[in-house]
Amino acid sequence: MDRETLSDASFEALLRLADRYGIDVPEETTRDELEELVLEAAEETREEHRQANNHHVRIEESKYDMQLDEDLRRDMDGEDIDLPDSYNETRVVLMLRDPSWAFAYWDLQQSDREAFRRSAGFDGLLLRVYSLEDAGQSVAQCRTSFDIPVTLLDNRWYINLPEQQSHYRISVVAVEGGVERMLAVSNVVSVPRGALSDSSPTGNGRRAADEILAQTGIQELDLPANGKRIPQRILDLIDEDLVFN
Amino acid sequence: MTSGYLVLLLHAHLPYVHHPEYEHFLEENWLFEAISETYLPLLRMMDSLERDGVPFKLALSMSPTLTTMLKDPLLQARYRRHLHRMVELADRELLRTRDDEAFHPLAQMYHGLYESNLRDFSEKYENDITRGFDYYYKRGRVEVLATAATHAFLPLYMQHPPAVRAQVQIGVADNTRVFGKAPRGFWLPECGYAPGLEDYLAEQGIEYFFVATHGLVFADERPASGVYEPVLCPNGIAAFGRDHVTTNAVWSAEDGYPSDISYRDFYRDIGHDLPMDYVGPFLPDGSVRINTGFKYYAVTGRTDHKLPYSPEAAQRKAVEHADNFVYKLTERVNRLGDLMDAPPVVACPFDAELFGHWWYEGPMWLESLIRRIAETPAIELTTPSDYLKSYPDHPGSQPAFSSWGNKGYSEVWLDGSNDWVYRHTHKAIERMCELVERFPNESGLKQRALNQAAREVLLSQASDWPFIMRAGTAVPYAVKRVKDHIANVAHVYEALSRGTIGTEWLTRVERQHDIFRDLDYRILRWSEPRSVYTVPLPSNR
Repeated sequence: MDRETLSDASFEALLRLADRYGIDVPEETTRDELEELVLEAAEETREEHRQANNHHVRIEESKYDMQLDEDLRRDMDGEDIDLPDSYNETRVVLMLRDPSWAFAYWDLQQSDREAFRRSAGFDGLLLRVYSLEDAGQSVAQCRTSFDIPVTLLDNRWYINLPEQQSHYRISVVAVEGGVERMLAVSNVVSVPRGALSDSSPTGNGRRAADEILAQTGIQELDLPANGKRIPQRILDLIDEDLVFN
Repeated sequence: MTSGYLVLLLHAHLPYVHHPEYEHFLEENWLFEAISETYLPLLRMMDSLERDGVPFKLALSMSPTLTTMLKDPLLQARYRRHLHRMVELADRELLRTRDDEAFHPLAQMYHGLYESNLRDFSEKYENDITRGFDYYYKRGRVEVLATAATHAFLPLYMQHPPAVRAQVQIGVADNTRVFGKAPRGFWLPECGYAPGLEDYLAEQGIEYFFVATHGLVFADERPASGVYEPVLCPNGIAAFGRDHVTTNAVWSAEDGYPSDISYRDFYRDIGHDLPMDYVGPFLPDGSVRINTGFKYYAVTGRTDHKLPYSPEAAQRKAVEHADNFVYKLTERVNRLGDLMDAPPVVACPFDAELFGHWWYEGPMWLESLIRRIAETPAIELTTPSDYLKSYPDHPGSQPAFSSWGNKGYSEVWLDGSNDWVYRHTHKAIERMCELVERFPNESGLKQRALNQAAREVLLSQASDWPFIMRAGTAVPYAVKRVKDHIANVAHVYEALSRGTIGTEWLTRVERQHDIFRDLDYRILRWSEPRSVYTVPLPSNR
């Protein structure tokens, strides 16, 4: 985004951009000042985004980076297709994002949704998260769960998974007059360890395997905290002389 | 004597962007830039190596969406038109810079580049550059791998087996159709692996694939050889692990080779730098500033005052960096060889577009690297298939869920900016499976509509759309594409329920999304229990 392009935008479009960037615009702000504020915010956002990405993602982004004034263009785009907010069915789907987080989306039949809205005794919805002993265990057999209260307006949620190397399922539960009713149960997600296995490698000796592992650059991998737990005996074997370039 | 092996894999991919309904379409430039800056330069590199009798072995995956575009007559004609405009711009640049000692040689360089591109594209490859890659495939210099039909990030579709199966099956079939022989390897889009994917690959006769570093080192049974030897999955397919250290040296923007101050700067481009009245005629609509490919500055450092680019200095640096890579790699395989029973194999997969598009000197570096390796007895450049032929026995293990995106899993393709997509893409798969059950044996117009709906289902799953939504560039286009494909599936679903299909609508959509012409909609049959939406509810609590 540059000054030249911003100068073609309407004042209203600039205000919308400022709002999108979270800029508090005082009433007496001139057009020039507003352009400057938007430019600064755009550059900051771009830099933050760049810093947040790994090398691969940055390179892949460059394939689509023609340096268009995307934010401005978005405002100028008129045509849009509205996809339905609901497919009028009661269901919940669980997706694994990484070993610590899952994503859930759910939907309710319109008639249920309306009935809950009208019901004086409706106390809300819960997402019940079940930690299963094995992937085949049903929720009825499961003894370990926790609840996340959600509203009728919500339809998706990120769920922090307390345990790795485990299996999870969730359900959507309606609470009415203190009575719970399970509306939908999700699929199972199997959560990996997301870290080095405790088992010693077979084949080569353990010492050799640890030395090899120390050369993979494991300590530099861009992973969530759990994946960074590396035994000290392996860290001690890392030879900085073998780092490239 | 060989101390170790190097596998270089280049993954070439772009999403399907094809808009016959417009005379010009901005996002088609993604393809044009990649052909000009990456694919043609890579082919020239291979020609140069062959001419000089330098042996080389490379692995290359080309997505079906990319090969479809490369073979599409409309896009071929538009690329030629684009090249003619670039040659015209280069002519003007020769005039504009005629008195500028620093920039005039660069204008000459671009003039030569675009003239070569036009000549090679039109005459040598007769508009279809897949022929160039096919030539080296047939000569055993390049091994071409398949990848998923529309480059879906497969771990997020594991709950929908028909979608994963279709992505793999069509990806393999399309690769076989384009290159005339069945692929042995498969590139999982975004290096995205989830346990169980190997079963879909085995169904299509695939023998190996690649995973991220932690996909192997976090495997159930930690492989004793780290990522320096493939593991055999429970079904016998080999999984090669990406070597983080060597690949990082090549693609790190901070401390990797491309960050050197001598190399060409990616961001400074005359499309942004020169006055609109001069450069406008070469920009979309005469006013939208985009990259033109004419870049005159070197990386220089963290400053806005960039120095003019010197191709000679950059070339010297590329050779130096290639030498450094081989030196470090030799040191590395020697050290690893002392610890292993067999010579180590170092697997380096890259996005092909890194070479040339992002890192202008990338093809030069690659050529220098290959030449240096040819003179280095300790290192042998190989393909995955050749390596597996020589070394078929490997330890067994189950690789772990992983990708090469940020934080190593699904975060890039599943976050607050793009998670809304999956509700709709999943529903589109389920609707399509329902249509297959309801209309198992259609012909004529209904069959055409069902086939098109299946294409739309696949196109909606491209990993590029959620990626772009998160990246923040071209977001409106990515959002529109997902919505268009989902709406088209819904249109067929509803029209078939009513029993009426509009020929005009169908013909228009077939023309726009003209991919997988031989597709049979029945590929999206749900032949397994529907694990997602038929979970029996327990009795109320």
